[in-house]
Amino acid sequence: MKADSAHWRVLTPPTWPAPPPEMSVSMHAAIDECPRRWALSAAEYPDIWSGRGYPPKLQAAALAGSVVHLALEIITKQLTCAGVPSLNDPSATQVLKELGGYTRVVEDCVERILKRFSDNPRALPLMEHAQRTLRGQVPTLRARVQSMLARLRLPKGASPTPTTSAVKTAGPPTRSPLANGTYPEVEVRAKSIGWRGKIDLLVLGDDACEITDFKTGVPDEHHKFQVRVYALLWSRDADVNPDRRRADRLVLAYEHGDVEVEAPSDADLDQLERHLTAQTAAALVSLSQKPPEAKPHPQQCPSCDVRHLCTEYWTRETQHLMGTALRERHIADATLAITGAHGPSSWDGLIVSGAIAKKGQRVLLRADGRSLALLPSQVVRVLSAHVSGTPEDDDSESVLIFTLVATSEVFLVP
Amino acid sequence: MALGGPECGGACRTSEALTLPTLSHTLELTKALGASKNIEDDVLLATDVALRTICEAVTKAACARLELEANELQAEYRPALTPEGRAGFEAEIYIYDTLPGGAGFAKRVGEIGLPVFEDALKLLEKCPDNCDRSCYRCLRSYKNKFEHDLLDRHLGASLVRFVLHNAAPTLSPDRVARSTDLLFEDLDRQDIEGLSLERDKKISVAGLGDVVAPILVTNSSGARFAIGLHGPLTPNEPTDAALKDIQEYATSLTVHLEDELVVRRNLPFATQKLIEKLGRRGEHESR
Repeated sequence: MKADSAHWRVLTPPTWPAPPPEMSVSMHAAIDECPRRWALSAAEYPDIWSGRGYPPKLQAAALAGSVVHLALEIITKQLTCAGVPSLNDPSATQVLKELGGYTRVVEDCVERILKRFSDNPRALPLMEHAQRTLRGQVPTLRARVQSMLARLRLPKGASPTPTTSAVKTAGPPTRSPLANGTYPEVEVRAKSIGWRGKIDLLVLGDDACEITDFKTGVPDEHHKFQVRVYALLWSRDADVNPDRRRADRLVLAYEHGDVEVEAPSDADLDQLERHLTAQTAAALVSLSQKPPEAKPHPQQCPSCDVRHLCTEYWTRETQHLMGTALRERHIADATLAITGAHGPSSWDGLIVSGAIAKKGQRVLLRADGRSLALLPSQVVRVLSAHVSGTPEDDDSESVLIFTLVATSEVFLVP
Repeated sequence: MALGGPECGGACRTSEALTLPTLSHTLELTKALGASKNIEDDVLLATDVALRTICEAVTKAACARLELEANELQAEYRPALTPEGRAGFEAEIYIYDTLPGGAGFAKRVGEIGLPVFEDALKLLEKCPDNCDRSCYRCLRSYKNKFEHDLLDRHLGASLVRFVLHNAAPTLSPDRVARSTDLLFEDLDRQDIEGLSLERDKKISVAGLGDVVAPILVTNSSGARFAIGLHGPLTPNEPTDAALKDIQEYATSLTVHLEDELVVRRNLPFATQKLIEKLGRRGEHESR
């Protein structure tokens, strides 16, 4: 980690991003939670990298869910392409054999997921750790994939995916009307309200229209909203669903069981459409401010990927708000003024702002095993450092020790 | 197998260190078996047991060869000081003299080399009492009393056999059967509503034919789970080869493997973990 690298500096985006042309469930949730965070994440940073937005932090724990999701996507695609009528059919086993088995698929997915971060300068220091973690989890991930797949039900009347359908593994996606069949990864768009989404699995039969969303995390009420939105987008997508068929079964497929969500009626869909239209308008208004409003929250901010760029987060008021939760976890953020070198990989400093202690608190910053170079008078923002020691109000000699762990980051404040 | 002695400089003048960079084979082993084993992650227990056991066996074998008192030499292990070691894939076992300033015995062991490991393997394979894990006739002593719980001669032997002879680690069918019985009985004892359990159940799997599931669990919605064990050093490799195909290719049921070592050492934990995998945590705890 080099402090003189552009990536490790606290930057302000050259321009604030324009509002998104289309809204999705996750994007709307992000904007609703904190418009500033969305804007900081979505802005362009040409000095750092050529990718879109600010480089996301690599979270090894979250990647496991992505691996399971991708593996399910690959397998269901192959099952539908092969026209497998049921998972109890011998042809389903044959498809798995052709794929090389679950372990092989999961291992490939681990590589593919990690490859997404290969040009992300922020992820590079954590790649080895993430690789090791995910590879060590392959047996567990295999069982998770097999368990979720085994619960998949392909209803009668859902014939194999027609070859002329929108499901293709290569080339630009075609958006033509979908006949009866099983379709993984279907993009749905409601132009009338400017929303889009991607259905994990859509099954169309003579008497069935089912939407399944694979979920690798814990059950959440928001997931029900998400799958209802998919039902709306499907019903309003004139390209793939010109007959405006209504979904009659919505399933959230969790690792340990399916949760059925009541399919919305026509009246429910109309109401949901009005709700989304209003939500979109509110989101666009919040993004019209420059910079967009920040909504600091003790539950959200500590996991925010761009909090080091957020001026609101580092104010005294916000840090006071964060205080209680941070003290209990011993993992904290702080802005430090470096006063001098303490050792080859440790520095003395003073807190400028932070939830863990008052301004002026003496700090020892330890960075064992990192090629960090800091100079006296530099100011740095340290994220997710392990903090030991107790700040004493009446003891000017007390020192807090900030130790950089694998997930810690340091950004130079210009 | 290369043997060598690294320069220890002044840091370890009291112990002539002999580094045996042999466990890089662990990586090859687990790759070959389709597993991804990591000595730093949650499979640490098996690694800890295997390496601790080998350390004791090597020390005992070396002392016997040199006709020394059992406390003249000591062996320890650590992540290798190599890129593979840093990644958690390679470990080193080193032997040192316990005498302050060193007595030169460790260096002598290095000169003997491979036969010390062959002697250690014999010690691990042949216990006069044919004990289950370790006893005072084979590996245990007053000196290593704090390590007794980590000594498993079968596990240690399987790793040394692999290093010396490239033989894939296996567990005896008797041991597997006993451990499977333990798990089955403990699971059955939980009396979890909605789960039916069968031992050694013959099942028919589409496209794969008839297979015997060591433990077959069926839940109230008809979902089936085949439960088996995996060897401590091979986390994705069922001890029952028949399970391998349904583990990799079956689409109508799920295979869950439990670590045989954990079943024997911490059965409640193994059972609880399995119940969670079966998705019964909430129901089970609420009863």
